[in-house]
Amino acid sequence: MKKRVLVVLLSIILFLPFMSVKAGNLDSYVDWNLDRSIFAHQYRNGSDHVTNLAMITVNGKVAYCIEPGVTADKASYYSSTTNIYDTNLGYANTKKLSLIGYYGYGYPGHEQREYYMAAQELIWREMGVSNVWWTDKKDGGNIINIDYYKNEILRLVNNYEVAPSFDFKKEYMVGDEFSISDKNNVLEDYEVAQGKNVNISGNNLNVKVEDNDNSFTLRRKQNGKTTMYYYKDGYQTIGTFEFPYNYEKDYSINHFYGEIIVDKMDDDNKSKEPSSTEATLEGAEYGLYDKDGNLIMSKKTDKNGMVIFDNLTEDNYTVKEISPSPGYTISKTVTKTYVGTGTKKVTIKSYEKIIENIIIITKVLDDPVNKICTPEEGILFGIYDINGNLVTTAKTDEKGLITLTLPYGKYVLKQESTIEGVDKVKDRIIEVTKDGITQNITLVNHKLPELHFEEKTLPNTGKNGITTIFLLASLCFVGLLYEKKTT
Amino acid sequence: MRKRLLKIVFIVLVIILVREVVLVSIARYNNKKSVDAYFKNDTSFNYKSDFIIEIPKINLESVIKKADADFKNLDDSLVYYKYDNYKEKLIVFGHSGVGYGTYFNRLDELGTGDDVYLYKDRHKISYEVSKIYSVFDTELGILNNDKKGVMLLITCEKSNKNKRLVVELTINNVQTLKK
Repeated sequence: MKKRVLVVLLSIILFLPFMSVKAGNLDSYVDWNLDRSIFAHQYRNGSDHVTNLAMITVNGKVAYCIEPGVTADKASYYSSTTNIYDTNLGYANTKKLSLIGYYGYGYPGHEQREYYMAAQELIWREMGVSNVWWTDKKDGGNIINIDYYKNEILRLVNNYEVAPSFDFKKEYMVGDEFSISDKNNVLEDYEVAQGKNVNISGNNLNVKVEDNDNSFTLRRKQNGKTTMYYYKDGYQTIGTFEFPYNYEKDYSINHFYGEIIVDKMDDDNKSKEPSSTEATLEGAEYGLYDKDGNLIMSKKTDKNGMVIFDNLTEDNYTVKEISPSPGYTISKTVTKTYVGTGTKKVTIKSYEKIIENIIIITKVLDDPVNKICTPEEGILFGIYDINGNLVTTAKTDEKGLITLTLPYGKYVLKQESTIEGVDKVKDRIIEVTKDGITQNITLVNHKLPELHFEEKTLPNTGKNGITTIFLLASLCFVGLLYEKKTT
Repeated sequence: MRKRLLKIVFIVLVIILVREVVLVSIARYNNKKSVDAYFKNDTSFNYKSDFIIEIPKINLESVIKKADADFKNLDDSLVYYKYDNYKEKLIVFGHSGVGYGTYFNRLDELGTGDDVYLYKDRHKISYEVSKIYSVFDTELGILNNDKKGVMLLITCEKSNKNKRLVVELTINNVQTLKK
């Protein structure tokens, strides 16, 4: 006997871990109100099960039967859980159930009892009841049509995972701010879960593009509540669906920086070719200013006359030249421009005037006899650059004048022609360094002295005197030697 | 007495000879300096009026200056008469013989076809000897500007002081030199 008792006890101890006992906390009060004017018909297991409409509450919250065919315990305490597997029910499509319950009775705008009936019917069908209908009498009576309410709930259920959708541009400039509307028109039901550079206003998303990762997350608005399940051994499982489940979506916006390019060119040639071989487009300094006139940065043009202000955020800017490149005058042009998403890169063409001087050459012939200087007409001059290349030629007019304009650089003025019997002047250096100067150069020629030689003979081009001197010196030396010998 | 006289004469003659040697050295130095100044693009060279002549056959490289009044500067260098445009007729005189400034002493060694080069400013004009002949010193007609692109080199004939050796050259080509 003792042995048998011992075996039984041991068996119980051994099998205890495998016996599930849902003890629960019995923390939730379940009750319902019966509406005896409405009858719910559940067709299951081949027969029609009729009950009155029972609008269940748990702790005062709207609740639904989620275990059809099992009786509920009215005005009693159930245990609560967020995990359906803690209940007697086991598996169920909890997402669908929670959505139906959430959009059912009690959802904003869903205060009619028909919404309760619709939600309950949808839940029963989801839980396997093949057909459900409502009448105003237990037997026969009129069918209460709640299709509209069911469709409305299902519409909301089906749209729960429809996230906001935006037609973002391929990329936006840093600093740009814009507002964009949700194509799916659901943005009002969402909130920003992550992303400091976005906010929601109605159906519009306001974005400020920043200099970092512009990703953000939108999620369905939360109310701090959750789906709960209530269970009690021997009785049906009940659910409250104050919030279905979290749903969110990630978004990303590409960003870029703007550029302002200054493209410096020669104003006379309207090209990159300087008007003078000694001038250059390289080395001109340009300043970039903000909309308040504060200098942001300055840069110098490269050998192609280009300067690029990059890494710019969306804003209004001003560009002006601070100092010119060698050979050019400073440009007084002030350019105001805007860079933004639509104007990613702005190019400013800057035409620069080369430094020029007016050169006035006066050519005269000195007449020392009459003590006057007379202008010489038709004298050809050549102007050469420092490399010896001919730049231009010019002839003196009837006043002996040549007027021309020379660009920046160093030149050599050479007299190329003269009239017979008159010399040519020495080459003259002309330097053009500062703009707007008129240089006056007076060149005086002189008559050449007449060549004289014997009218009758060509010049004497023979020299033999030294030979004679040498011979005489030799004779003297011989004579001296002779004298020495004899004395 | 006679001995003393001879001594004095001898010393004087030696001094004259020494002077001549010194003058030859100075003339050669100045000439070389002028030639070097031209080829080094030195501004001390008078590019406007002076030429440089090069005659490889007789190893001559010399400056040619414009003849002054009475050809006084002919003793120091080669000189050209009147015209300085190589497209016209250039006439160059130079001494032959012994002493300083006798740059044309070996002119009689030139033959037809020999090359002569003239440098004027940035141009190198290549000439070729086309004719060699003699004229009496009274034949002034050769000074006329009757031929274009021709240069005459004139000096005394060594055997006859009344005659002048004329080497006539014609232009082969003209090059422009890079400075």
